Amino acid sequence: MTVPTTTEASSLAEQVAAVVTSHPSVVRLHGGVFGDVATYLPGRKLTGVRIGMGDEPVELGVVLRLDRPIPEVVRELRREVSSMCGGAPVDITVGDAVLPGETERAAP
Amino acid sequence: MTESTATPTTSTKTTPSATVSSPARLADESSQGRTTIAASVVQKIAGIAAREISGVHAMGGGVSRAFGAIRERIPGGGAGGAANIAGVQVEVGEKQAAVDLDIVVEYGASIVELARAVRRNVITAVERMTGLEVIEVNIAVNDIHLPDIDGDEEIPTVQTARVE
Repeated sequence: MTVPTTTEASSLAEQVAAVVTSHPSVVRLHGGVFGDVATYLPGRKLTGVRIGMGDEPVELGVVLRLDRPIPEVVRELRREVSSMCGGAPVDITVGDAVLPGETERAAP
Repeated sequence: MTESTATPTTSTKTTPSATVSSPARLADESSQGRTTIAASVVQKIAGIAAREISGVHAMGGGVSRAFGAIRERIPGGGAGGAANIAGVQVEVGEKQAAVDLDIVVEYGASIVELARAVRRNVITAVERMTGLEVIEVNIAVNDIHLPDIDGDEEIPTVQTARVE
């Protein structure tokens, strides 16, 4: 079994989550349509990022602020995350949207 | 196990390759990953775009409007987001979206013109904000709002209790 890759992937997932949530148009991470986009870390679950093994794509679930067109934001996120993950393809799910005036309720 | 073939690619994560990092604006599908936009996102955008047109009094059928009126009075019962998507149904594919709207018009508005304006605004907003092609916007005008009963909404319920 390849144990080192899992710890590598988990720390990478945390780095990706930090970069993605620091984007001004990202409200928070999201578990995707089925809530299955997550990384299982020791003691907790990081919802919204999954680093694929091998050729699998990196999966990302986000809630966006609707102040800019979604394709622009997605393109920026994909470029940043893909460069962090060695040019791997990045599947992005926009799970929900928050209006610029609307305040996001406390995240679960 | 075939996992051993997968390890080399994860070890090169710190060195972004030059071929992939060049942002191809149009060919971002398949090679760089897919983008999925949830139906609730399209619902919100379409709902806001429809409401922006003056002459649209409310959205939704009788049941969802009554339910929304109750829900708005519950503290923390999803007042902001849920109200926006009442009367909006969408179907979202990978490249296209279809929108169905239930609207209540103001008395005095030309329904044909109003529907045309709503359709135009919804298509523009959804296509601009999501990049999806809107293939159709079906509009159902459920009701007409008369200015006489503008002050209090309880008049229709009083009228139903008129015959005792």
